[in-house]
Amino acid sequence: MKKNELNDFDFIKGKFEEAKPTVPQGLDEDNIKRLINSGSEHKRIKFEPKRSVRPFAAIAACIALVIGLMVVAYPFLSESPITTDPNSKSNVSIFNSDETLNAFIKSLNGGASERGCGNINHAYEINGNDKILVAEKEKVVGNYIYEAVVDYAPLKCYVNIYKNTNGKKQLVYTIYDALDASAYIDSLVVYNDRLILSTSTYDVSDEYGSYNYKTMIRIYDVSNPESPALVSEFTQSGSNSKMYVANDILYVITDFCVSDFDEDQTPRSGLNGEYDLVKPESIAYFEHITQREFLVISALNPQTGEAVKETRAVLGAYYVVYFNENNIYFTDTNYLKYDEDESNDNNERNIIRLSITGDEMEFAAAGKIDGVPFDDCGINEYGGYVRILVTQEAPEFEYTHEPEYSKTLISQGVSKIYVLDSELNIVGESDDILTDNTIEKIGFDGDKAYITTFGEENEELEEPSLVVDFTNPIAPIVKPVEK
Amino acid sequence: MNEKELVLRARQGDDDSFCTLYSLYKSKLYSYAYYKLGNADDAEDAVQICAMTAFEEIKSLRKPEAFSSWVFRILYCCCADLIKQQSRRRGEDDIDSLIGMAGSDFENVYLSNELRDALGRLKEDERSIVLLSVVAGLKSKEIGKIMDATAGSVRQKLSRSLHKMREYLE
Repeated sequence: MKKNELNDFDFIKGKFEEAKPTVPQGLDEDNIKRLINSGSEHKRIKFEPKRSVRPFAAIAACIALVIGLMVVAYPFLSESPITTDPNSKSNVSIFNSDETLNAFIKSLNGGASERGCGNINHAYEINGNDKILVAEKEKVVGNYIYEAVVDYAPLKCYVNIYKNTNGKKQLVYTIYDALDASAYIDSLVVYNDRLILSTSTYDVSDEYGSYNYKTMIRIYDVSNPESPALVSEFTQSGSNSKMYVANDILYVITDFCVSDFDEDQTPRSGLNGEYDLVKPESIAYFEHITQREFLVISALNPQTGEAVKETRAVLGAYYVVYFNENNIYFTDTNYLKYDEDESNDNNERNIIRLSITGDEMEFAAAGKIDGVPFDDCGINEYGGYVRILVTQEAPEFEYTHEPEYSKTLISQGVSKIYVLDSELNIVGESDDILTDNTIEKIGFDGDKAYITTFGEENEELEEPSLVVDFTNPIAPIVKPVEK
Repeated sequence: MNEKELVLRARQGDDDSFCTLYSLYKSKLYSYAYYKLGNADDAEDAVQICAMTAFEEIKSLRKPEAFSSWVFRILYCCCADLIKQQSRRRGEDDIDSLIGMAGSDFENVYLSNELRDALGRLKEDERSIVLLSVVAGLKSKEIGKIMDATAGSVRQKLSRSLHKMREYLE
C-alpha cells in the first residue's frame, strides 16, 4: 500500500498559502535598508558561516606539532588538561576533575543558538520491547485514560484523567494547579499506582536572559485515579525528555544545551529542591565536538523519585539514543560548521555504551564507525551484538523543472550495517547496501532486519525492499525481499 | 538581474542589491518565523535580525546558489534564540496577540490558527522540518545540514509529519 507523500505535501502547502500572513510594514525593503545603513545594533546570532578548510588544516598541523612536543616533554609537564579517568576500566573518555571539565566546556561553542535542543528520540524495534515501558502523551490503564494536554494561545498544560464507563469517556480529574504556568508536558507514564509526569520549565537568573532549562519529574500517587496526590519532584537539567521504565527503574534522559550566558554550564539533578551538579567523573564526552550540549541520564525509584544510581551525562551526544533494559547507546553529533560546499563532510561517528547492572550505571565502552547512523531505528542490540545501519553516501539526483519536472538518479546511495561486540569493536559488517533512493526506515526483528527506501516519487513505502539476515550475527547478508 | 548576480553584488556591500534579494525572500522568511514563533511581533524581530545579520555576513557566503539555505540557516538560529526568550513570557500571550498575527482577515485568522494547532501536534524538530520544507521550499539535504540530521531522516519525518497534519486538518 502506498501513501502519496506528494499529495500530503501539496495539501499542506496549499493550506499555508491560503493562510499566508501579511508581511508587516516594519519588514519593507526600505525599512531594512534604513536599519542596515543606520548601523543600528542588533542581537548577534551565531550561525557558523562557511570557513575554509585550509586554516583548519594549518591549525591542525600546529596542534599536531604542539602535541608532539608535549608527548616528548610529558615527563616534565603536569597532568594533561583532559584525560581519561585512570580508574575507569573502559575506554570511554571521562572527566577527572572540575578543572578539566570546566576547561573543556570553555573551549566549546554555546549550543543553544546553533541547533537548539532537539526532542530526544529513541531507536525502536519492530515488535517493541516488552521489558520497557516508554512514556507517551497518553496512557490507558484499566478503566482510566491519562492524557497530557498542551493548549496554545494562551499556553496551558495539564493532565486530564478520564474514566471509561461502558465506552463513555468521563473526565474525573484535571491536574493543573501543581504544574508551573511555564511548564510544558513532554510525556507521562503510569507504573503501578504512580502517575509520572515529565515537564520542562526554566530558571531565569538575570534580565539578560540567563536561563537554564530543566525537567521536572512529578510523581503522583494514583491509587485512586480520581484523587491523585503529589508524592515527589525530581529535577534534572535540560528539556525535551525521554522517559521509560525498565526493571522497576525509571530512566529520564534530557537534552541540556548551554549558551554562553547560562548560569549553569554543566548539568544538575536532585530530588525535592536538592539540585546538585553532576560529578565530573560521571560525565563522559566525545572528542572533537564543538558544542556545549549534554544528554543527562538519571535512574529513579518510580515510587519515590529517589535516585537509585549516580546521574550520568554525555557531552556531545546526538539526540537519538537506543536503549534497552541493559544498556543505553549514544552517538556523537559530529556537528561540523555549516558548510555550503559540503567539503567538510566527515562520516566518522563515535559511539558510547552506558551499561546498567544492579545498582550501577557505568560508561562501559566506546567505539567508532564509518558513516552516519540512521536515526530513529538504526541501532539495535541482539544476542550480545550491536547492529548499526549507517549511511556513507546519500543518493544523488539531478532535477529538471523545464519543460516538465523530472528526476534522474546520478549515483546510488551507499549504506552499511556494522556489527559491534559489547566492547564496541567492529566484529562484522555487511557488504555495501546500494539503494536508488534514501533509506526510509529499518526495522530489526531478532536475527532479521527489514529495510525500506522511499519510492520513486519520494512517497513513503510500507513494504521493505531489502532484508538483512543475521543468522551468522557477525556476517550479515543483505538480500532483496522475495515478493 | 538574477539572484546569483544580486548575491555577488550584495557581497561587495551593495545594499540596493541586498534589499532586492531580501524582497524575493521576505514573504517566505516572515511566514517561516510567524509559524515557528507563533507571534507576529517576534516573527518581525526575527526577520529583521536575520536580514541585518545576513547583510553583515554575506561576504562569507562563497556559493551564491546556496543563498536560500544559508539565509534560512540564519533565520533558524534567530528563531531558536527567540524561542528561549519567548519561554520567559509564556502565559502572557493572549488571544488578541493571535488575532493580531494574521491581520484583520477573519478567515485568515481561522486558517492560521488551524495550522498552528496542526503544527502544535508535532514535535519541535518536526515543526522545523515542515516549515523549512513547505514554507521555505528547501530540499531534505539542505534541511539536514541546517538541523544536523541526515536527508533520509528529514524525509522520513517530513512524510510522517505532513500526514499527521493532514489527518488533523481534514
